[in-house]
Amino acid sequence: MSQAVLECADIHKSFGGVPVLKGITLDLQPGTVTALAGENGAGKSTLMKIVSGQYSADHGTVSVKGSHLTPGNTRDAVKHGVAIVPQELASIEDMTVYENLFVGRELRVGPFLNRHAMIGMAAETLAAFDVAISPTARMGSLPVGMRQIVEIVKASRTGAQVVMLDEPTSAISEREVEGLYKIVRRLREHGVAMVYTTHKMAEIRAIADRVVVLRDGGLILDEPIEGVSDDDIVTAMIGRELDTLFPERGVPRADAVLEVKDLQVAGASAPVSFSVRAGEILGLAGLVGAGRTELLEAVFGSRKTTGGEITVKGRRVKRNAPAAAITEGMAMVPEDRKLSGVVLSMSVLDNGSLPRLSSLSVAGWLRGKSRTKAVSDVMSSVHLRSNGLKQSVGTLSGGNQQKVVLARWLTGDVNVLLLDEPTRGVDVGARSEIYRIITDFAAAGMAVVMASSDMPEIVGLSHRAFVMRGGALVGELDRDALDHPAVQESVFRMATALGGRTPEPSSTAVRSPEPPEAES
Amino acid sequence: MRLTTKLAVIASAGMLGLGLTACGAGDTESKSGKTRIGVTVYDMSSFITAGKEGMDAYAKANNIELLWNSANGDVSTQANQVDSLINQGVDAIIIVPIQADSLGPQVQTAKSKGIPLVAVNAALNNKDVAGNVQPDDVAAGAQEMQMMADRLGGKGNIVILQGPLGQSGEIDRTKGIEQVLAKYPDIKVLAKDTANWKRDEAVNKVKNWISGFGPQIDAVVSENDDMGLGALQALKESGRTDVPIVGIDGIEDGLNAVKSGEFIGTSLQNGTVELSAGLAVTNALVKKEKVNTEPVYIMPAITKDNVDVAYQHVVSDRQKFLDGLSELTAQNLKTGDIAYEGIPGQKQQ
Amino acid sequence: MTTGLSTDDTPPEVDKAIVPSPTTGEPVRLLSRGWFAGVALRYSMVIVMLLVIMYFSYRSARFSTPENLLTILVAAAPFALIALGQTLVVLTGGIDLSVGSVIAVSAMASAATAKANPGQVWMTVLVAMVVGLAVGSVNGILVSRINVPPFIATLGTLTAGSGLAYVIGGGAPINGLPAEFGSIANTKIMGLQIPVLVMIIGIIVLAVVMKRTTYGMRVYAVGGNRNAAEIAGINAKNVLFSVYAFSGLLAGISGVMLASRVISGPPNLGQGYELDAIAAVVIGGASLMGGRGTVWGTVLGLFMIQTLNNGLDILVVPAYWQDVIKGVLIVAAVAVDVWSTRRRT
Repeated sequence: MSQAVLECADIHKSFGGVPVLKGITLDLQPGTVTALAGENGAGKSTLMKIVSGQYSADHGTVSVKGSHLTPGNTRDAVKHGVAIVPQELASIEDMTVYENLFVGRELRVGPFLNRHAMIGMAAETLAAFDVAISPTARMGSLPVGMRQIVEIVKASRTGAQVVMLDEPTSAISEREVEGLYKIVRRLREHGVAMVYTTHKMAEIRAIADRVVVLRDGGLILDEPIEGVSDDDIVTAMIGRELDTLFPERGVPRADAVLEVKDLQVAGASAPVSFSVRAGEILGLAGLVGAGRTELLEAVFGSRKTTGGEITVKGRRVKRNAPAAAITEGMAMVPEDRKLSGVVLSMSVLDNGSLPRLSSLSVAGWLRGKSRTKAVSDVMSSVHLRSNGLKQSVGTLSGGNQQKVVLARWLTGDVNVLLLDEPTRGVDVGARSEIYRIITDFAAAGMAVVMASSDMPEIVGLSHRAFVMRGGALVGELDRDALDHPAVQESVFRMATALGGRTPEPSSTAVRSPEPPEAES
Repeated sequence: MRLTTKLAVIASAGMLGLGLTACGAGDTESKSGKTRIGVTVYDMSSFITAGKEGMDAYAKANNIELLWNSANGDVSTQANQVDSLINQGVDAIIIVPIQADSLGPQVQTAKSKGIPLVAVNAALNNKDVAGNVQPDDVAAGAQEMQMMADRLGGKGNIVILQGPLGQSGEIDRTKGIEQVLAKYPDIKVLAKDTANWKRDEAVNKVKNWISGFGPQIDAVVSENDDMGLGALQALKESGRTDVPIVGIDGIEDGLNAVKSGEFIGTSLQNGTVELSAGLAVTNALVKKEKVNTEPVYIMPAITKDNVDVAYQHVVSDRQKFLDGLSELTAQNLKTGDIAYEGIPGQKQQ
Repeated sequence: MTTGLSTDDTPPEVDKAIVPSPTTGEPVRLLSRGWFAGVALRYSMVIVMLLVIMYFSYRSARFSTPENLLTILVAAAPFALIALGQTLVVLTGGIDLSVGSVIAVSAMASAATAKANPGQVWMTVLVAMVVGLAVGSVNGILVSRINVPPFIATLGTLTAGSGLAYVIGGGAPINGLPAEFGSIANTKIMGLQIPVLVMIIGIIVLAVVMKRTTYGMRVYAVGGNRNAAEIAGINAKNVLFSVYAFSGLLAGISGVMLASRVISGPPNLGQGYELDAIAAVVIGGASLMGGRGTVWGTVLGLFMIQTLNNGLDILVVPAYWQDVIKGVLIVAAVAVDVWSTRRRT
C-alpha cells in the first residue's frame, strides 16, 4: 500500500464556541478521487479550508507526505502542493487566463515579467488538457464552467499533489460537467489525490473511487465506492432512513388555474402557450440557456414581454407588472436566492414580510404583533429551523434559506407558484422537506410551474413536463414518458434539437458567453 | 439584547455622562477670578497667528484666560465652536468669522444668555453683536489701489487677486479697489479671481494668467500679502522681474518684500495691535465699562520710507513691542485710534 | 471559438473584418457603427481631452505654446505624485484619504528643517520622505494587519495629520525661510524643473513596474480577488502594506516640492488635494473596487484636470466653475465606465 499523500489527524475546529469539526482523521492516497459528502453544516468546506491553510484547526494536524503544514498559512500549503478551487471560484476576472494561471508563480526575465513565455506555456498546458481556450482571453469573459476548468488546470500546473474542489458542479451546466469529469480523471491518472464535495448521488457514482461522509462534524462513513449503496450514503448523511426522497404525487383537479396564451418573451424564438390546473406540478426541463428562467420571469412580470395573454383563475393579469401578478396570487421563487430571493442581512421576520408589506402595515407603519404572528405561523408550517424570527437569513443553512423564500409567500393567498431551481444549494436532508412542501402546496390547490436542471427532480415531482429550447416549448412529456427509463436521453435530444448523439457546438465564431445565472 | 440588559446599559451610560459633566462644571468654579473669553477664528493664517501673540500678551497683562479655536475655513465648524463656548459658560466670545452671513442662531443664543459677542477683524452681518472691531477694509483696498494707480501713472493693465469670495475682508477690499478704479478709466482689469488668501493657489493662478496674457500684465493688485508673494514667485519663474505688486497685511515676508522693492508697498494690519484692541473692547464689555464698541482700525500705508519701523514692531524688536502692547492698547482705546503704533505717517489723536 | 469541449468539427469560417469590439469584446465589423461606438466608449476620456485641448487652443493663441505647456507640467507635478500613489492604492480596492495631510505635515517638517539648517537643502527632502513614509506605513499597518477599512483608517490619519501640521508650526505658518529652499522646486535640469523631471520619471517607472513586474501583477491580483491571490500563495498583507507606504512616500515628496515653490510652510497646504488625486484616478478609468485601472489612465485623468484649470484661468472663468466642471467629469467618467463594464461581462 502506497504512502498516503495527505493525512489529517484528529482535526477539531469551533467557530464562536460552536464545534464544527469534532475530531476528523482522514487519509488521501495518490491517484484517487474521494467524494466528500454531507449535509450543509456538516463541516466539509471547513475541513477543506483547514487543509488549504485558509483556516487553522483548533487541534490536530495536517501533513503532506509526512511533513506538517503550518496551520492557517496558505503559502505553506501551496508550497507543499495543496491546491483548492473554492466554491465561489478564485479567479481574478479582470486578468487574462494566462495571468490567472501564473499568478504567484510568474515567469521572469530579470526583474521583468516574461509574458511571452507565460502565454506559450499556458497554451501548451491547456492543449495538454484538451481545453480549447485562448490564453489571452479575459477570465471574466469565460463561462463559469470554463473558469473552473482553468482553475483546476492551474492547480495541476503548480504540481499540486492534493487538489480539492468545493461544490464543483454547483455553478456549471450539465454539458460542462462532462468536461469537468474529464479533467478529474486525467489528474487522477497523473497521480494527484483529489477530493470534492457534492450533494448529487449521480456525481459520486460517476467519478469517485471512495466516499467519505461527514455529519455534524463527525466522520460517519469512509468506504470505497463499490462497497456502499446510495441508501447507505444518504442514511449516513442525514442520520436516519430516508425511504423516499419524493413524496407521493397528488391528483390534480380539473380546473385550470393558470393559462398562458401566445406569450412572446423578448428574445425568445417563438410565443409560448400552456395551462396548469390546480394541484398540478408542471416541470420545465432543458439546458442552460434554454429560456426557462426567462419564461418564469415573463409570466411573473419581471421580464419584458411583447405580446400574449396571462390569466389566473379566469382573470386577466397585466403583463410586465409584478405587483399586479402578486395581487392575482402569483408567487415567484427565483433561481439565485442570494441575489434575488432574500436580503441576507435582514432577519427571518423582515424577509418573511417582504412580499406582502402593504398588508402587514398600516399607512406605512409596520404592524408589529400581527406581522410577527403571520410570519411565525408561516415559518413553522414549513418546519423552519432557526433561532427565532430575529435571526438573520444569511446565517441560515441553504435549505432553511430556501424555506424562508418559499414560506414568505404564504402570508397571503397563492394561486400560482413559480419555482426556479428550488433545491439549488440545498442538501439531501432538506431537499426531501422542500419536495414535501411543494407537494403540499400543490395539494392545497396551487398551480406549480417548476424549472429544474435536476432530471430526477423533474421526474420525481412533476405531473407532466415541457422541454424548452431557445425560449420555446419544443416537447411535452406526460406521466408515462416521464416514467420511461430512457427519459433523460429523450429530453436531451429535444433540448439540443438533434437526432443523433453528437452534440453540436453551441456557439459561432466569436461570442462572449453569458454568465450561467441569466439564461437568455 | 434583552430589555433589562438594554436598560442597564442606558442607565449606566447616562450616569457616566452626568458624572463627567459634573466634573466639567466643577472646573469653571475653580478658576474664578480670571475672565474667560472664548475665541474662534476662520483659520490660523499668517495674520491670525501673528495677532494671537498680541492677544495673548494683553490677556496675560489683564488677568484674562483665552480659549482659542480655529475653524479651518468651515462655517459649520465655527458654528459648533461658538455653541460649545456658550455651553462652557464663557464670559464673552470673540469671533473672526469665515462668512459675513453666518452664525445667526449663535449670535441670538449668546445675546439671550447675556454673553457679549464681538466680531473682530472680519464682520458679521448681524445687528445683535455686542461689539465690532473692524479694520477699514474698504479704505485698505482703496489705499492699495491708489498706490498702484500712482505708480502706473494712471494707465496700464492689472490683474487682481481676491480673498475667499464672500468673506467680509474680500467684499470690502474689492469694493475699495473698485471705488478707486472708477477714477482711472485707462487702467484695465485683465483678470480678477480668488486665490483664497493662499500663496500656492496664487502661484498657479498667476502663472496661468501669464500664459494667457503674457507681457500685457503691467501690475498685480493682491488683496493680501500671501497671495502677492505667490504672484511674485510666478512672475520670477516666468522671468519677469519688473512687475509692481501691492498687497495688504504687512506680514513678515510682505514687509521684507517692501524692503527689497519687490512689493511697491502694503498696508499694515498689525494683528497684534488690532486683535488686542478687539480683546480690550470685549474685556471692557465684560466689566461693563463704558467703551466705544465699534472702533475702526485704519491701516497705515507702508512703503520703502517707513517700512523699517514697521519691521521692528512686527519682526525684529517684536518682544519689546509686545511688552508695551497692553499699555499702547489701553491708550488707543481712549483716543479711539486703535491702529496707532508710532509708524511714521500716523498721527496720534 | 468553441466553449470548451473539443469535438471533431471543422473550424467555422473566419471573416477577417470581424474584430472584437474595443469595449464589450463582442464581434463587430471594423469601421461599422458598432465599432465606432465601442471605440468611443473605451477611449471616451481621451476624446474629451482632445476636444478640451482643441477648444482652448481655439479660444486663446497662447494656450498651445511651449511655455504654457511647461506651466501645466509644473503645476501638475505635485498632483501627479499623489495621483500615482493613489492609483496603486485604488488598484488594491482601497483608498488613501490622508495624502492632503501628509503633504501638510511633510511641508511643515521640511520647512522647519530648512529654517533650522539653512544650506542643507538635501536634508529637507530627506525629512519629507521619511515623514511621508512614516504616515504611509501607519496606514499600511492599520489596513493590512489590523484590518481597519481603508476609508476609515486614512480618514483617521487625514484628521490627525492636519492637526499635526499645526502642532509643528506652533499654530502658525513657518515663514522667513532661506531662499535656497526654493531651489528644490525651481532648479532646472535640461530645461525642466526638478519636480517635472521627478514626475516624468515617476510615471514611466510606475507604468513599467505595474505592467511588467511581478509586483505589479500581484497588486492587480490582490485587488481583483484577494482570496484568489492568497490561495495562489501571494502575501496579500505585504502587498497592501506596500501600496499605502508608497502612497505616503510620494505625498511626502509632493509636500516638500510644494513648500519649496512658495518658499514657506503653510500648515493648510495640500488641503483637499486627496480629492484631486482620487478624481484623476477615477477619470482615468480605474475601478474603486480594485483590480482595474492603469498608470496611463491616471495620467490622462490628471492632465485633464490640470489642463482644465489652466485653460479656464486663461479664459478668466471663476474658480468655482472649475470645481463644477471637475465634478461633472468625475461622474461622467464613472458612468461611462460602469455602463461599458455591464455590456462587457
